[in-house]
Amino acid sequence: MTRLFAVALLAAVTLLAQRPQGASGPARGGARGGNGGVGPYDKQVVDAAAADLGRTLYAAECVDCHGPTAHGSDKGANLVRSDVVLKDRFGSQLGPFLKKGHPLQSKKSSADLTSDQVVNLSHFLKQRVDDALKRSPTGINKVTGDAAAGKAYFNGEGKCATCHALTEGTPRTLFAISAKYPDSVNLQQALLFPGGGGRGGGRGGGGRGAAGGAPSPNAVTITITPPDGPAVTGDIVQLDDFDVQVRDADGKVTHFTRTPALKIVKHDPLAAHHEMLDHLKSSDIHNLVVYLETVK
Amino acid sequence: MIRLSALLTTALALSLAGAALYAQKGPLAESWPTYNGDLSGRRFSTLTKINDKNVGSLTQAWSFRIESGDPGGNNPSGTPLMVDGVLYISTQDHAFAIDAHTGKQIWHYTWQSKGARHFSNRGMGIFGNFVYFETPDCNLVALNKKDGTLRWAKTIADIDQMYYCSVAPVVVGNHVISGVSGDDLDIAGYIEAHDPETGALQWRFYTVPQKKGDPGMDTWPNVDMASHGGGMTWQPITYDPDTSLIYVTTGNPQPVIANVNRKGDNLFTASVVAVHADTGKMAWWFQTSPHDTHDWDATQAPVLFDGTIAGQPRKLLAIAARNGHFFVLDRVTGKAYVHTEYVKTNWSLGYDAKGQPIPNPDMFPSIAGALVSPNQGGATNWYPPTFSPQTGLFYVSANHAFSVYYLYDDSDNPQGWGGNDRGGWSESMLEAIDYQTGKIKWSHPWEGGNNSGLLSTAGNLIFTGAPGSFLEALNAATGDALWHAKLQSAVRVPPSTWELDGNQYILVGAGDTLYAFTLAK
Ligand code: HEC
Ligand code: HEC
Repeated sequence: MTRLFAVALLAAVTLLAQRPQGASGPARGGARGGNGGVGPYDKQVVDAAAADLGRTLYAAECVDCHGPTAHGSDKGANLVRSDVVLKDRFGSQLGPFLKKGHPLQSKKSSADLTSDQVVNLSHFLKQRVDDALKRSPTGINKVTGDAAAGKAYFNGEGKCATCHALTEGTPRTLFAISAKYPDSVNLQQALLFPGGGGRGGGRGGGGRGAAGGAPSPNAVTITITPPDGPAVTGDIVQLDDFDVQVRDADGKVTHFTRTPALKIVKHDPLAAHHEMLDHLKSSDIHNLVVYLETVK
Repeated sequence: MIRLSALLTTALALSLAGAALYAQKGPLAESWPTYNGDLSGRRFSTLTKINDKNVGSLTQAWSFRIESGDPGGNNPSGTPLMVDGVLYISTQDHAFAIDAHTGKQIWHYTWQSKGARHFSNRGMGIFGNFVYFETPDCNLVALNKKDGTLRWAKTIADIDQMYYCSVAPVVVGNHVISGVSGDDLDIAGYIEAHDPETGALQWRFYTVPQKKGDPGMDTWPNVDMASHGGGMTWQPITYDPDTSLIYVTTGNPQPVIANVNRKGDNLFTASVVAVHADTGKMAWWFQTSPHDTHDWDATQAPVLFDGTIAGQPRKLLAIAARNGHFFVLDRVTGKAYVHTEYVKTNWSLGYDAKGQPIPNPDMFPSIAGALVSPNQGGATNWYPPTFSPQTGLFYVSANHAFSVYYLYDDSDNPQGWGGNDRGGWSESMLEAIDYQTGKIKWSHPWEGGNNSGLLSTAGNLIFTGAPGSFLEALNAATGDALWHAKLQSAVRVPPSTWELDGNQYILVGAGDTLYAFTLAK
């Protein structure tokens, strides 16, 4: 009974682990996102076919005590943290360890495991270690909430309806938004960080990016009013503590040196979205997402 | 001839002793002998030749491009040391000595790596004739300062267990203090003290309990979780010769995001810990993030200065933590005098009796996601703050940042991370905090993301990187922008300063290049 359940769980966990890392993953990536750089250069690269054979053997001989993900149980050690496993290369540590005599589910002698079987077990256990290092979505995330409460918040306290209609064809409509974001998590991200949340976010990210890039309907524009001249409104070409350059509707770029007398006013179409981040509660966010999923 | 060289050697020895002493005490001016300049972590220089009146005429004296022959070894992030006219800087697996007058390379040392995560290297330590750095594959390496030849190397952590090493060693008395990095797999943080001459291990201090009865054990469910509980030591330590205490800041607990199997406060992760320099025994602790679930380590600089609290002179330690909270502690006892937010955050429910934030369980990572501020990058991060005794202000590069934290492993025994944050929006600013009240004296907003280390000087200046790849100087009292210079990429090596041949220099690094600025003649 226990065994069956564990094996079923093991299969499920492995399935999850094998799922391709979705494009919906965090924007981070790079050195910290993956796990390629972890551990020594001479570390064992997992052979998936051998790991599959190892999984079968593990299910038959080890899972009861070491658990479906090899994270351990009351009856056996956590193998993902085990020095025997971490220092192993193709059975170099695991082989001698099992040779000494270790309980098996079949009650057979662990010393009789063949070297091929040990190598397969090694690949399977290394695969479990790799899994533990991952920090990417596993497919379990889903936004749940109360659609009626979301509707009330949308039209009331949230003031969403002041900018977003829910009928087809209106500006900034959120009609059928779940067709654009079928995954509730992606819809939630779009709601909180419209325009892709491109600037900032994640480890070391940050900032209200200004100059450069393709013009976006949500880009911040500015109005510059010098003490002695007419105001200029347009896209930001350069904005730092000393210089401002603005491109007006005709494409003309004007350069100003910043002084206390030079007035700069920014227009951010997403200002309301940035401000709401300081007040939104998780329950309101989840309810809004669930409500918007019903608008089609 | 012989006499002359003997004389020279004596002179050198004397000036060395001066430098060593200098790192321990006294004002920072003619050299920069530790990661933070001196052992206090203040990054405040008493130099005034460059000041708020003349900073506008700073010009580039020289630049130096690092060519290590290894694509991963060209970008430093630690502040170079400057002693006796020579700069010492390290990158991953490489160390360099550079003539501070000219920016010309004197020597280059290459370490043959056995692997591990190559994430960053934060710089070097110095003692007598040796310089020290850590390699990603976790060796503490001592080089002869004169020619960059290997003196000794000691393995300080096991890369099979997924450690890597990056922190700048700091020399305190006759101890080289090293730290460890890595929060991939569940492992324990520690610092070590090594003999500067021989490399022999003197002591090791674990930041999480290793066995039954160890202090802090009651804040973990069991020994297995505690002894694999994280708390990496990837921020250079600070030291007070008067208290003989080393101040260590510790990393986040493990597993990082998923946390059902580590109920409790998880001491001494995300904490400031005071450790006796000669024994490695703990004196006191203060946890900036009890039971952290957002990767908010406390590995920000613990800055030491003397000040006045409620009319009483006090020995203080200030830290602006990654989680958005600012603390001023008594560095003798660990008692908190000030606790406050330095940016608006949304994850805590006030403070406990000790002055530590109480985490709000509604903000723990979840299957449906929790909107949390700050984001994982933090309200600040590794990049060093500065404290100016002249203005009484603590300066920090800050982010008001949001992201959504998701749980990716909802089993009852997750390992490693088990979740992450996603997306976000943030705005950056330079903040000047009154240490006595924790109130923001001024806040200088940036037009873009900014994660730069800082320098303050007695010339009433703050130097910082600024968005758009600038090095910028601000008025320390008011936050007004005074000067900037465009670099090839964003500042990564925090600005530092020293005087050489009567000229004050500002040194900064961006990408693979170091830039030295001085006043135009
Ligand atoms: C009846 C329960 C049981 C079974 C079945 C079992 N183990 Fe274990 N195993 C344990 C226990 C208990 C420990 C911890 C004590 C020890 O080291 O012997 C352990 C320890 C280990 C360790 C060392 C962990 C360390 O301390 O670093 C390894 C490796 C290991 N087992 C592998 C296996 C493999 C592979 C199998 C299947 C071929 C297996 N075990 C089957 C109970 C079991
Ligand atoms: C002041 C106006 C304003 C308010 C108020 C406002 N929004 Fe928006 N919202 C916008 C703008 C502008 C965009 C960007 C539109 C675009 O990119 O096409 C946007 C984008 C969005 C998106 C992403 C649409 C997409 O296609 O990716 C969602 C979802 C959204 N808002 C939901 C809400 C919710 C829910 C509220 C209330 C809590 C709200 N908004 C309040 C102006 C507003």
